[in-house]
Amino acid sequence: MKFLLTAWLAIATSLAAAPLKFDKTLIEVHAPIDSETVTEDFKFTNIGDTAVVIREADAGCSCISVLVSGGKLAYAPGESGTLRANFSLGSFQGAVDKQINIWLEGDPDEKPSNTVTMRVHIPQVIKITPRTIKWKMGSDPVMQIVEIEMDHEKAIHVTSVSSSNSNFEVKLVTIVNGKKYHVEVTPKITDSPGLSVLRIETNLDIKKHRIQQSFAAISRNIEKK
Amino acid sequence: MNAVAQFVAVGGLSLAAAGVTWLAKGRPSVPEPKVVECDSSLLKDDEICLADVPQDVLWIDARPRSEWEINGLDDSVLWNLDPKEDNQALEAGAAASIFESGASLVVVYCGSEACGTSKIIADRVRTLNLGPSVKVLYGGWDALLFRDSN
Repeated sequence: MKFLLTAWLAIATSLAAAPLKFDKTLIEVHAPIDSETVTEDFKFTNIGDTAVVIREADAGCSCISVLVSGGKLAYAPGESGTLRANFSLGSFQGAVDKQINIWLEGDPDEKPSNTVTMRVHIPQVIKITPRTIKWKMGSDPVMQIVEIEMDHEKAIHVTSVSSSNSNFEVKLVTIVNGKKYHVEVTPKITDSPGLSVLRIETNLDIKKHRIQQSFAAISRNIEKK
Repeated sequence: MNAVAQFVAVGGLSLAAAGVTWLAKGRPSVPEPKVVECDSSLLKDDEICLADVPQDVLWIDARPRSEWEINGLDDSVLWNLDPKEDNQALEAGAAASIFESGASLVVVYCGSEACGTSKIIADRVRTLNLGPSVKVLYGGWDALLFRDSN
């Protein structure tokens, strides 16, 4: 029995060193415009001489859940498995890289054995520039423009624009119907600081993109450090 | 029971226990919080050590709402990437707080040094271009948790 316990301990100790090899360490995916989540599988093989045990797989973001196929954590030499990453797209837009760290038993916390990357391209169907238009306190209350551009195969119409602060007047101007719009924003007065949320509603049939916002501010002078 | 059977039983039970833990928790054990040692000379441009954070600061908590509600810093603002949250409302709330505070610096923290959420939120704050500089707290919540030790 002593021999068997010693052997078991020796096996358990040796689990720390052997590496996993992933077929791909970078998976790039273009998310459909209406998708809420993207799921990708990272396949791996234990190419070491000894068994390994996965201790943790973590992306450092509540937006990604990581699971190992079948809940199996121990892999004998030559054995393969799959790490499944499920990315909730939420409010992400553009190209997003999410790294997933994989710790094996015996790895120090600060040094995972493997890191794989999920690169997701998330369409930005409505582009708003700039995000904030600003006036300095006491400056002339001149009109400034927020540009809205649609990047979609179908026309997207702006149905309304409103300001949360009555000191800012907003006017919607159609530049190219269904493609490009301007919001003309003019403060009535600039003698005190104020912020407004500009709410831009569209007829896009994808709920998470339908309403956009930008900001207008009459700001104090703030020195950057 | 003979020795071989005992060996198989011990091994089987160990693997089963590991499997149950994974299925129940979604992932194996999370590292314990640790005291954060921060050397400002080694930081990236967008990071800041807790010791260097001035009084005139607005904190943004990028952790899940449940954690922020329990022990978020006083006057901190919640802005995370939880898909269950209304991100536009969080953005508008943060913008209003940044604007009203008049702070010259915004510092974002999340759960730990390994948490990438705070960098994404910091980028979003910068995109708003409301005036203040924006930094990510090195060590995240771990640095704040042990702030009396640093």
